[in-house]
Amino acid sequence: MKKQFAFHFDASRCSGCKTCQVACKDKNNLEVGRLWRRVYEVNLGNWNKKGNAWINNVTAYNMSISCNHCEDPICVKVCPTSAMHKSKDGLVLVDESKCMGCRYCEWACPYGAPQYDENGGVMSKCNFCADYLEEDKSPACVAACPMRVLDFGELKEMQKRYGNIDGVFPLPKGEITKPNFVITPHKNSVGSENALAAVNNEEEV
Amino acid sequence: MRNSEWSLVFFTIMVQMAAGCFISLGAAYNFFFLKNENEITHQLTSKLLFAISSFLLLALFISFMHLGSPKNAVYSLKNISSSWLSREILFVSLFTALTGFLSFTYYKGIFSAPVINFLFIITSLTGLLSIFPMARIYLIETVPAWNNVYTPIQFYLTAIILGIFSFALGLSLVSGGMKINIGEILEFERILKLVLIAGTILLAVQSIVWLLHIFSLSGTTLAGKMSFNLVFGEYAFLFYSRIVITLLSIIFLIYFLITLAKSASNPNMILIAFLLMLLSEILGRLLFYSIFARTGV
Repeated sequence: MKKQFAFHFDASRCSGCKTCQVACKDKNNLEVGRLWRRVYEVNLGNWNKKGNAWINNVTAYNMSISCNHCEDPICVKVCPTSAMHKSKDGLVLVDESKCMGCRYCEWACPYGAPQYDENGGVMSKCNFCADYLEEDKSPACVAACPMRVLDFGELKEMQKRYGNIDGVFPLPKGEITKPNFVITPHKNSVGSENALAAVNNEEEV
Repeated sequence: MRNSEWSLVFFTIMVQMAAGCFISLGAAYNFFFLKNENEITHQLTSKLLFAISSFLLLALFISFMHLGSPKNAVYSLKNISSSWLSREILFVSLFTALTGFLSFTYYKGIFSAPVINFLFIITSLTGLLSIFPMARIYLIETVPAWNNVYTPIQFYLTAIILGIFSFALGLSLVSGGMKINIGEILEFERILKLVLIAGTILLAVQSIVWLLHIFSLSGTTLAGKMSFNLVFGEYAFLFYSRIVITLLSIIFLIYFLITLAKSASNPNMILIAFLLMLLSEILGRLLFYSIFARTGV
């Protein structure tokens, strides 16, 4: 059977410390502003009237996202040069020697995975730490997480262990690109198209 | 909007205008010049063909400016089986090459009139077709502001409006440069009258399509609503400026039409009409790129 690596993220236990984000930057030597893994801080809730009292249901949770190495990757579909491609391990990778830096994939990807490398004039993205995988090591983000909320492995194994939820706010519905990604949602998390929720750290991601 | 998108604003408008202008020239050649071919119509056609070819080359050069690694553009047709960007690059390159080929062979007098006419038809079709993949690029499932029928309609309307006016301007400039009275070889006043009437109607149609596009966004997904809010928030100045310019254009075109008998031979009137419409298109295209908002993160 074809291999397909997948990440699992447990939103119910993530503290939002961003160690995964920093470990990724460190491993891949990314300059300020280029993030192959990003932690989105989600806020939602309001004051609601109940009888004569006003009760708030304000809540917050985090969402750590890199590339989901989708089954139906929109970045691969739109890329004119075929620099963006899917490897035999199911990883979506960018061949920098072919990328012309048109940034079309950046427009299309609903996960913000392709990130532009200003110095090289090409796109760059999470490669699942493919070099570590070859050495039987975990991807840098997974290894660094102090809360142990990130996991990785074969997609089927991840789904067996954690279920198959792949679309909660702020992520899109999974049907668009069929992400190889499993989320354990936070107890207060809401669906993809919830107008009351908001990402509260736009300047960071 | 990213800085690199400025080059896309100009590239898309320039190619659409060139396609519209080429088709207008092709129609003029087919219906007028072919019947009355003489030294003057030959020179007019030759000069306009050269101008359109150069303009297309310039547009292609501008499109290169938005690439991070232009040298890798050699791979740009590799994903033609699924990427609309590959298809656009193929069609626009083909259109440019055919226009250049026609311009060269016409100037050198290599082919007979029926062959030239055939080349005009083939090149016009390629130009017309090249606008479709250009629009299709923006029909991205994750970008509701662009992913709708209004995008191709507006791209084609831009081609027709700027095409016919740039053609009228080109005719008046080239004939002025050649110190000939265009009215003597062509029924220029009649052509101009048609251009002005068509321009006024098309401008009104385009404004309606544009407003329908913008207001359709309010009822879509979160990303669509975000785009809608950008139109009336951060980019409201573009929206209102375009409305003012479009209204001014319509008033000017009507004034031009009324005073046509006096002002037909005045190239400045055509220039002003063209510039007003070009400005309206640039504002519209700037707004188009500025309201980008994507589903997801």
